[in-house]
Amino acid sequence: MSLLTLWRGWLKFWFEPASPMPMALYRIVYGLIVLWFGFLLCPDLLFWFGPASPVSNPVSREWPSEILLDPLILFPQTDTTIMAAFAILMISAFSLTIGLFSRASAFLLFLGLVSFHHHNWLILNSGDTIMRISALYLAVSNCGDALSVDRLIKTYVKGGKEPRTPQPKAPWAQRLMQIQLTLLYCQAFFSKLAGEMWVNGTALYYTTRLEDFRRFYFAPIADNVEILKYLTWATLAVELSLFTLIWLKDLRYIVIALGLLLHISIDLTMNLPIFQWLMMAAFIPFVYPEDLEKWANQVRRFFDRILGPPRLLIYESEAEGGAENKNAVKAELHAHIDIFKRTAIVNASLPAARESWRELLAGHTKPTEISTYGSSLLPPGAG
Amino acid sequence: MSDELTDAHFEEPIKANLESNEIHETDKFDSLTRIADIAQLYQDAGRFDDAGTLRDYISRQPASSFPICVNAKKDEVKTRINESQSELKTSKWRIVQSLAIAGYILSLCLMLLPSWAPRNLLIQPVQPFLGAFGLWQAWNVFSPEIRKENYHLFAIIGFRDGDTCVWEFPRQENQSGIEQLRAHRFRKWAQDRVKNNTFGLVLPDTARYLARLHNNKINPPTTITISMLSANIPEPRKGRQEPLPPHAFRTNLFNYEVQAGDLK
Repeated sequence: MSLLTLWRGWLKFWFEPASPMPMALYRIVYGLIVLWFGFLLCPDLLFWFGPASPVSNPVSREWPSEILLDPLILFPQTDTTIMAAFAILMISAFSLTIGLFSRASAFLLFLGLVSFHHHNWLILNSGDTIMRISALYLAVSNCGDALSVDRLIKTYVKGGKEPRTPQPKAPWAQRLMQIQLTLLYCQAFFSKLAGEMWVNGTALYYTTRLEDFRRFYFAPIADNVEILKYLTWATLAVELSLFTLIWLKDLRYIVIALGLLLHISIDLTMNLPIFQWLMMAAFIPFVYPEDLEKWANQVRRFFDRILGPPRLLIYESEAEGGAENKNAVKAELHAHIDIFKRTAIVNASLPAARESWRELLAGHTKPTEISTYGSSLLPPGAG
Repeated sequence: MSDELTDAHFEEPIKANLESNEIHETDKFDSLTRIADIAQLYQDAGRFDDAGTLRDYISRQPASSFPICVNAKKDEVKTRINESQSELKTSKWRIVQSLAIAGYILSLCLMLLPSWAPRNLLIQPVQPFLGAFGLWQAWNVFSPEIRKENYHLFAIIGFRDGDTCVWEFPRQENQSGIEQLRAHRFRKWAQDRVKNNTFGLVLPDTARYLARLHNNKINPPTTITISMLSANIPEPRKGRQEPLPPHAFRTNLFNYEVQAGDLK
């Protein structure tokens, strides 16, 4: 293998254009989890971060590194400051979820999380860490290019000319997220191997008996030492596969399924809220865009079976007068919002469509309902 | 061009693609209406020399990309085709981006490696930046070993008149539902930080907090004793496991004389 081949491989891995769908979906799930995190933190916000917190500011500023990014300390240390900062944090989480100014929202969220985390890092767990770092990856990604309000705005601004399918772009931020997850499991695996309990199979026996973590206790499993031993080793095997086999296309979904099983089991048995959900969500960037499309089509077909065939929307983009752009914009906005494709949208101005729509109307899609954006568009017999 | 492109050249592979990809009816509808336009656009873009290359190209495309071509203007199609190829060309910007990515990944690797002289030397220049900008991380959860004891913390607050009261740190195992989810931060604070007295500062800080919490102008707190009750987890054995013993072993973690300034 030559250096040139390696370099080409590197460029292909980081920069070969790919669909933004996985990161867009991850953005939504991640945003919802952050909103849930906010809901859980809300009642104790001032207790942990307010001026009267049990962790005083000088103690929380103790850190091996001298500089800590914490814009909160620039403001008066009052309850109002904390509540205002938290409100901004939650607004940015909400706008990230719906994809409104996605990159800016993600960056603001990252900044807010860094600030809160540095304000009192003594109450943080690994869930907070992955939440903070993921916000940065989202901020540099193209997560707002699909399933977002940003796309609707772009469609409107461009007068309906925005392509319905999001444009592929260099997926380096998505790849960073994948590498991050790989490194995470790699460290988790090797640090466990360094201990005796994970090797001799007693680790899960002890973790299931830590009362301060316990959630649901499944006695038939938790009281059976043999089963716990195999589950301990299975945990190691799954973690190993999550940074090795996950990169093999044929095995990726099997490994992700095992990873999901692992995190669901931990979530049921141990009280580590948010962390397990964020870890499960972090598998989304590993999903191939073409598979997302295939699964989405299955969902759409399911809706078709329940709700009947899609309706037909005809619009004219080059009509005389000033209404032409409005029709196109309305139709394209409709197309962007209609993620389950409940409407077949036809531009009647295209010559091919003009010739073939009657035939298609008659037989191919059997639309139950026809709408038009344009005055004289209903074909003979269709109304 | 060995074979002139006609609509038929597009129709057949696109139909095959749509069928093999299990495309949704609406997409089929959208795509089929536009085959002629797609043909024209591709032809104008000068992307393909012959029908064979075109057929091969179409068969590999996600079906959802067809409507893009229709919506786009001819020039845009050309631009997009060129853009997707230029993404993989070596440019100064790509080299800079690649160096930044490689540097970041190397820093992450160094941060996650166990402490080791060469690692510690290499990470020195980047550690302050990673720390300052919130990129610090560690994923060695429940490893290398897991603790073999259960415990909970409580404090005894002594007042000026000699009276005492006991304050127990919130325990997540006594909560349920949402309250339990909220309590995990109390667990982190009490069980990990206070118990281990992180940086040697958390215990006095907590004692001062408890003094403020129990402040009473008539009878103010004078001493705070933070203690722990613990019990070892029984060793695993074959058959039925022993129930977990009650936390009966007491350890005093910290005694604190309350100062006048602590109560403000």
